[in-house]
Amino acid sequence: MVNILVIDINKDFFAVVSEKAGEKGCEISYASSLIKGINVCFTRRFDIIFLKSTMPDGKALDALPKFMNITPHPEVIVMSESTTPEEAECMIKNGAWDYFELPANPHAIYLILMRVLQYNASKVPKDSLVEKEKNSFKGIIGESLPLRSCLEIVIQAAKSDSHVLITGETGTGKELFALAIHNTSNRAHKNFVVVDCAALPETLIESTLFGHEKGAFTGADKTQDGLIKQADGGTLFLDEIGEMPLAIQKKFLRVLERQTFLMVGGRKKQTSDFRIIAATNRNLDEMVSQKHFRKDLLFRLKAFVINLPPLRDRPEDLKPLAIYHMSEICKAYGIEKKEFSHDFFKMLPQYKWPGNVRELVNALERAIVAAKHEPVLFPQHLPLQIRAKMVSAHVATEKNPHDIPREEEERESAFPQLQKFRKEAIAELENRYLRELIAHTNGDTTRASHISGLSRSRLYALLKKYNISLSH
Amino acid sequence: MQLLLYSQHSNENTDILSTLAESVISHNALYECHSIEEVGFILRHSHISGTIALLFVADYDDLVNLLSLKDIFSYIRLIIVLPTHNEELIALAHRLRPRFLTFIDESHYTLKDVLKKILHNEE
Repeated sequence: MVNILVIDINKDFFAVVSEKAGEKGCEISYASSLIKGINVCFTRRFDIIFLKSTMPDGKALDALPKFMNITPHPEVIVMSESTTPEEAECMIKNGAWDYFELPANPHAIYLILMRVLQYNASKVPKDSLVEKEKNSFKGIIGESLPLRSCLEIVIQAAKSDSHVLITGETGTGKELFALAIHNTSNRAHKNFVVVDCAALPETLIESTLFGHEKGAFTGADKTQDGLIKQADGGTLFLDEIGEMPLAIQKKFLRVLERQTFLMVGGRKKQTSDFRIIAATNRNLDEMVSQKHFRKDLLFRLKAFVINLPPLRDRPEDLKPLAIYHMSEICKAYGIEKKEFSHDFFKMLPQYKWPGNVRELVNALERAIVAAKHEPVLFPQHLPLQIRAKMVSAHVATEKNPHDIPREEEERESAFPQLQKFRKEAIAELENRYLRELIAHTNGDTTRASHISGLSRSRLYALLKKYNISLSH
Repeated sequence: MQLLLYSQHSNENTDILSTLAESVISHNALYECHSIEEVGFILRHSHISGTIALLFVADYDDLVNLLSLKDIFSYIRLIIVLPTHNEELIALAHRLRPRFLTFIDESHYTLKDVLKKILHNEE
């Protein structure tokens, strides 16, 4: 059932839409003011909204970001009696699905309605795509907003054949994301070839990538295909691409431009149809400015960029990650799964996990080994240096003077302290700013980060704090 | 840090690999095993993280058997040495996502350099 909301000061238009949409089995609601319309959208899901451009209590243009922040957002059609082309353009830029002028005859309304219904039917919610592909995302665990945003890019990248750059701190799972893209792409039936740029000595990297002809160098007893050829039809995963020597970057760029390459010592052009997914924990833009990485190569790699969040920015994922990896480690060890004490999960966010998921997995493995035959894992089973930091952070939280008892807090709320008042005011402004920023950038966190001057991790943390979705 | 060296059979080539491994890591941190069960046993009874495995594959069937340990291998760094340049074998080996894939007829010095670099990065 498609739910339609008409926000208009009078009911004339609502009557016409009701008749036409009713024939199509839609349910129609009416709101006589903008405020009522916005409020009802937070309690009920609407697929389509017909919104009058000027209402006594506000303008459609100002209200559009609010509708776009609802997940999944409704398609908003703005209707106006007199609007300039600039205003109409502005409406569309702010997320309106369409715009039309009043008065409109019933047939015109019927045509608009049919178009939007058709569009609505063909639309697949992003969330359901993530759910659908979850089986292909083995090892990628969590439900946090930053993680889901990354998975949405994974799905988009998998549909395309463009190159992908995955960035993130050590241990954030860059290879798992690369594999997820490969496994959900059209190249899944071919090889996923790992090139560990950090593991290959500089003298070896060229022949490993491009292969070599017999006699090309001492020890080249026979012709050997390189990893580029082995990735034909599949994906070449360039791990730690920031470690790739400049001379190889130049040769590699040429392969991307010409789609052909020469083996070391070879004269015959070779071809290979491969897609690159590159990963790094280094700041490649900074490396470009220091002339340690080629700008043109970075440009080619950046068709899709996935910035993986550090674990400290998605603390809600700690519990599911711990449960999943405990189960996997126990399976690998051939032992019974263990339970977790309540304290175990309570303590996990007290540590910053600088080594990210990899460090968490190592800590879990050590905890499982320490617990031996005990069926329940307690924080005491975690490595000592991690537990010490957890306890120290926990004590600091307990002693926080801002943790005042509820009754006292309620008494104070009649007239708050200046510090509290200031904090709330700033929070309200931050919330408004971020919602408008996300609406303005259509959920593009790279742009939002650039405009706001916030680091991506800080931006994600704030979006989470204010429960702001990137969907629009 | 430990290095697990797997080869189904002992022969001249595996002796070379063993000597090579001993030249880059202390004898105490080196585990040699000759069956899939042994590989599984060692990985299950030691810290998986911080392990590097050097797998010298005997043939196609040997590699298929090693694939049964795919999940546990995903926690460690793998180097695979293949017996031939067969495309099917190479494709199968890539399913284990090795950090380095080489062949028994390639220079062993190359393998030693890679091993040294991976060990250095892990420390």
